[in-house]
Amino acid sequence: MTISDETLVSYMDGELTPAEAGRVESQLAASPELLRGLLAMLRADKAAGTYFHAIDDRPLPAGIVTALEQFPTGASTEEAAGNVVPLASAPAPAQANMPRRAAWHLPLAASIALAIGLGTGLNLGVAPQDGAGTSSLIAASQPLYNVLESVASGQTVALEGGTARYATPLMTVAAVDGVYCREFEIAGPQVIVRGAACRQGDGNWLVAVQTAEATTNTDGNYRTASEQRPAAIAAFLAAAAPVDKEQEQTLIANKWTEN
Amino acid sequence: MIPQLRRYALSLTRNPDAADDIVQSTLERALRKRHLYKPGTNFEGWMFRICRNLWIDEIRKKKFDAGPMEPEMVERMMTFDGEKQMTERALLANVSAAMAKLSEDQRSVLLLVGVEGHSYAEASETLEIPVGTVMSRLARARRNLSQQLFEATENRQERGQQEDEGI
Repeated sequence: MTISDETLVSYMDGELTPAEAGRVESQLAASPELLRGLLAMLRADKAAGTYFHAIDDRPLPAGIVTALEQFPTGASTEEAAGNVVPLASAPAPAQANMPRRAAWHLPLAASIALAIGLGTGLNLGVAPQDGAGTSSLIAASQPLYNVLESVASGQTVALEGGTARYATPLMTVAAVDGVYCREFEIAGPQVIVRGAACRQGDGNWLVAVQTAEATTNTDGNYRTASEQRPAAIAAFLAAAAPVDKEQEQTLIANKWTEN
Repeated sequence: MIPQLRRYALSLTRNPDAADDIVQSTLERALRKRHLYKPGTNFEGWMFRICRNLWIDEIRKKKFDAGPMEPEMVERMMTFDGEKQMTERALLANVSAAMAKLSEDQRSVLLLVGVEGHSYAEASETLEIPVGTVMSRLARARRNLSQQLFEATENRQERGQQEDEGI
């Protein structure tokens, strides 16, 4: 049985009956491809939210303010009596809202599927290119594991292994339903890898998105993280809430569990 | 109401200046025509329809050429500074380009349901289209956007030439 995009979006938006939703969920559990499609659409919504809300931050043009002032603010004019336009109130100060619905009103089973999904397939198809050992699953035996698990964002450490490589966690975000993801950078002599990895229920980290570019410096010095974030990573991180330093410290201390 | 109207206008125009212009015209026309508003009905829908009709007039008069929204427009969208700017600039530029490949109908549905959190029934009423149309536009909008944003990572530069699909 295949699930149409129409059914998938209806599921996303909570528009299906419980029975229909259950069928979608069993398909999601069976098909990483379908799950990837769902995740991508959820992230597309987040990206759209950032786009549409960008206009919130712009100052309100004088023409709009003037037009607003013309509106009857109550049943004051006889003409407007019984016909009050419910607009009245002054515009709220511009604020940088993020989309308020966010994906995360999904049914519980879907949330679980999403958490699994971060572990099954959310690879954007960019293969590791520097031989840094960043295959998508980072188990405890791999050099990057300790960096993700226990190094605070902003700190750089040398990665164990042959060539000189330096790893820096850049930031931590809370993704879907308590899945924590960390943006990181690995700088080597030839290549800088930048990506985001999410901590799985089994304690491993999974690289969800990864990009690589040539190191400009040839003297072995690594570049810092101040450069522009690759769009694929920005898009991935947009679907998650930043975690502050203090919370990150607590998470590291608690090995990324809530308590 | 005004923030919602601005976002809706942006979904039509993709251009923040044009969006604010049309918001202003919408307010002015709504004021003139306020005797036509039926109390108790969906006010937002009423305003959105005025907005949309004005926009259609604009296009008809070719007062505004809805070309792709390009870097300088992204700059004008960006009023934040500092860290947030760093974080969002790349995303916004990318999403703006992707939005240009959606029809305005798709963008409006995506805004109302995907961003504002309206139900299909509410979006159907506001936009005066059947629920089935809300659903199909939403499916195409999300699929299209997610493909553009997340599937073409390696050949980003070729994306500009990709044909719009099925719209």
